[in-house]
Amino acid sequence: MVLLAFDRNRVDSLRLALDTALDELSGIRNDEPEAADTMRTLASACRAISDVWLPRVHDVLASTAMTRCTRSAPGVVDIAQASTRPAAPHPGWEAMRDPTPVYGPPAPQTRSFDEVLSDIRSGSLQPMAAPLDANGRAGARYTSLAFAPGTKREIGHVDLTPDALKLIDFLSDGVPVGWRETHTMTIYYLTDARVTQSVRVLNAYPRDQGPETLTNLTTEAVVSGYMVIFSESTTAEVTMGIGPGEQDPTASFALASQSTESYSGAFYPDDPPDFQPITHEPRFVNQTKWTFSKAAAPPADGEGTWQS
Amino acid sequence: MSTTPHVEQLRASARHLRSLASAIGASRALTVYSLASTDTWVGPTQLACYEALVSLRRQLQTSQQGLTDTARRIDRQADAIARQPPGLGLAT
Repeated sequence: MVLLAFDRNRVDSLRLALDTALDELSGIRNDEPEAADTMRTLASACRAISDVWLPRVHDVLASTAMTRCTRSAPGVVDIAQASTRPAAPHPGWEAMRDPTPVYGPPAPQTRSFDEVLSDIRSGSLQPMAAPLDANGRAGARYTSLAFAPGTKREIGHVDLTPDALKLIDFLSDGVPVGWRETHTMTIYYLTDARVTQSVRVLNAYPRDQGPETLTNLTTEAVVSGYMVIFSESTTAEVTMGIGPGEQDPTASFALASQSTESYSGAFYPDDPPDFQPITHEPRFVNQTKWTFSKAAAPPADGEGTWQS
Repeated sequence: MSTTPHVEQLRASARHLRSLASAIGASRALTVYSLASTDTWVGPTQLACYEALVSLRRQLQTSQQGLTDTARRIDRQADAIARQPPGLGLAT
């Protein structure tokens, strides 16, 4: 949600000034043929003030964001003011949901977590073209997409862990064998991410290195947009209680522990990426954060699967 | 035909245009943008409103300047007619 912070007294002054301007402009009359263009400009200005800006200013002044419940004085810690506090740059200012965009769509990076999900469902946000899949055929070529974000801002995340797994995690406390699994969906906004599209050949390869890459076919693009990541984290433990006799059942020593992490996701660019052959000149590049392929299972350690 | 009525008509027209330019110049519409700054509010609406009012100010100032220029041109035209000897028309 995008917030509008405002000083009620100054917004009221703005309303009065707009009223005055509207009265003055609408009261101007002139029948000179040479003034026809000017009169059209004045009519247009009057419409903009009366039909757009005065109603919006009235809406702001009619906002009950700060008056519909009892609030503490400005400057006093009050949890009820928590959501509006970051938006209000000065003490005494109020905040409300901003009704804009007025002219054109919002800047892409201003979408909230819910708006991103909504736009993905509605098709307003289109995913980047999925990597090519080798479909398990030996010797076949496939592509992978590696993302190295310039800057990465988390829009939000949600815990998707099924209740059954949460119950298992809860019941694992105090028993010798434990199992913890969490599923999370996180949305990031990546600014100027370098996306490298590599062409690989599916053949036998060392698991830690991944398949052979045809470097002369590698292309890259710089693009901004939303990265949706589904991550899964699993931990299995075998534990032993500490000390003999009665004790805290949760105080234990891990005899063995195994953790695995995996991710899948998709990228929704602001603009379609323009892939160009990669340059081999020495340069500084950002570290790759995610690498995706379309395979059912990631072909190399640390890689994920494309999900769209 | 006497040129005096035509000259007077032109001068009246120039006066009306100057009067219109003055009314626009004195309008609160030219300065209201300053109240829509970030001293008043902050957010996408503020940005859109501020830009719209600055744009409106620019349009009004352009119109004002255009009216003044036109009035000056009409006055020169009236002067030229007035300077002509009686009985001669204005070359167009």
